[in-house]
Formats: sequence, structure tokens, C-alpha cells
Amino acid sequence: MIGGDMPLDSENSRYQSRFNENADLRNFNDTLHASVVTQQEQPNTTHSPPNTHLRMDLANASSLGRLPSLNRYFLLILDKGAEYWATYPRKTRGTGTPVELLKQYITTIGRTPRYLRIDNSKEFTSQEIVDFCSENDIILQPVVAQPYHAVSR
Amino acid sequence: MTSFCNLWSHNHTMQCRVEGTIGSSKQHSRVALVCANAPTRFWPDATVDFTCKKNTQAKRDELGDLSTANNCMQRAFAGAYKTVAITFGSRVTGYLAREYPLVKNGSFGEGFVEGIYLRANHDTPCIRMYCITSGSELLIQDLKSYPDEFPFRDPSCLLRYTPVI
Repeated sequence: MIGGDMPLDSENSRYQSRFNENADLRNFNDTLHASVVTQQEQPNTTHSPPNTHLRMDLANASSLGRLPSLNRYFLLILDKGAEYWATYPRKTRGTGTPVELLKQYITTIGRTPRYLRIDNSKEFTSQEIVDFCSENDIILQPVVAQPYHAVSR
Repeated sequence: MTSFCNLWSHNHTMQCRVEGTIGSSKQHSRVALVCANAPTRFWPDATVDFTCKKNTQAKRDELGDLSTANNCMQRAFAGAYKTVAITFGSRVTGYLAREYPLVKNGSFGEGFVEGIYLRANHDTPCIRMYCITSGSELLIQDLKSYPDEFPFRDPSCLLRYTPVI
């Protein structure tokens, strides 16, 4: 029997039954399509909103210029969401605590971050920076190297 | 209340962003010093200059807005290409105000300064330049830049005689 010769009512009923059986799948597909369209209409956003996730580290710049009276280090603050960088050259590691430079950064930006990720160096694990973060409701995220795991460093 | 969140660095990527940023800053500032043939004592200015240039890059999204890094900058000076888009170490000339202490006679010629571009100032629409004649850093607003001339590479581009650079 040729398909085209099938009575129209019976074929419609068969498709209707399939349509009802796959109702859940159709709803899921509609929802998925709607979410995809919504995502396409939205602008490209970063994974974290700006001014919320900060990374801070102290860098040794002796390879650039090493004189006794020169700045040898610079503190780099990176905003993960905005990809905004800020550098603060310093003569020694102890010159100008990171808290002062962090206050300067916050004054420039105008917003207090939510997370601050640092390493476990002495400058960043002082009580001063802990007090500053507690006053401003900043969550500290010190990165700790896992022992007996060379890659983690 | 301080909330500590110890992140066990189960891999080496926990601080990769800031470490990569440091490496990029060092590379670019080193290249800027080499290209301008500038002494290494200018590396802090080269680093800050690269950071400022990177932050000022106008990256427009699909909606036509500037990037979020531009929003982090001072609104009045965000995207001030006149002061930022100048090659590090290139020759700049400017004029000091008559009330400036270096201007002794108050004449127009005394206020003329020339030197190299160091970086844009964060808080004002000015640049920081190294004046070769006086050997000091100056803050200049009324400037003229020559991006193809590097005094430390070719001193003959200077208008005024400089016995020691």
C-alpha cells in the first residue's frame, strides 16, 4: 500500500498520537531553543562581573633594571571580570604596604571588590590586610600550595 | 567578619591570571625600553605606560559600549588617546607655564621643554615626560609628540644641544 493512498483521517490521527507522545520532548526543545535565543540576544558577558574578583601579586622586576636606588618590585592588581590592570612600582617588598595600595586602587575604581585572591607571601598574610578585608567585607582567597605535588606550585 | 577561603592549588592555574599578567607586563616594558634605547631606570614608567595603554584600548562590544576596563578608569580621561597613544620614549615637546619655577625670565623661550614621553598621568589630562635639559620629570599638558623620533636612539632629532643624555 502506497503511503499517499492512506486515508487522510487515519494519517492525521497517527501523527496526532505521535505529537502527543512527544509533548514532553517538544516542551523541552522549545525551552532549550528559547534559552539559546535568549543567550544569543544577550551581550557577551564575562564569567565574573567587573570589580568583584581581584587578583593581587608582587613581582620582582630586577631583570628590567637593577640599581640600588631604583624600584625593584611592582605590585600588580588584576580585575578578573574587567581585565583592568593596575601596577604600582615599589623600591622594596616592604615599602608601602599592600593595604595602602589596595586602598588607592579602590579609591580610583570607586567600588570595593568581593573576592581578593592572593598568594601566601608575608606581605599579603599580615594582620593588617586581614583587618582591612574584615572591615570592608572582602573574602580573602589565599592560594595554598598542595604539599608533595610539584605542579601545584 | 572575614571569610577565609583557602584554595588548594590542585593545579598550577589558580594564580595563572596574575602570573601571566606579570609576565606580559615585563615583556612589553622590556621591549619598549629596547625599542626606545632608553636606560633601564625608566622601567617603572614603561610598565605603568604599558598598563595604561592596555586599559585604554577601546574594545567595543556588540552593543557598541566600551569595555568594562574603560569603565574602571577615570570617566573624564577614559580613552584620552591624545595623552595615551604616544610611543614610549619618543620625542615630545611642550611649554611650561610662565609661573613654573623653571621659567626664570618669564620669556617664551625659557618655557620650551623637550624630552621623551614616559606615560600618561592617571589623574589629570597630562603626560609625564623626562626633560633632557634639566634631567627631571615634568608634567606637561600642552604637548606635541613626534612618534618616529627617539632621542636616546638618535640625539640629532633634538632641537637643543644636549651634551650628555
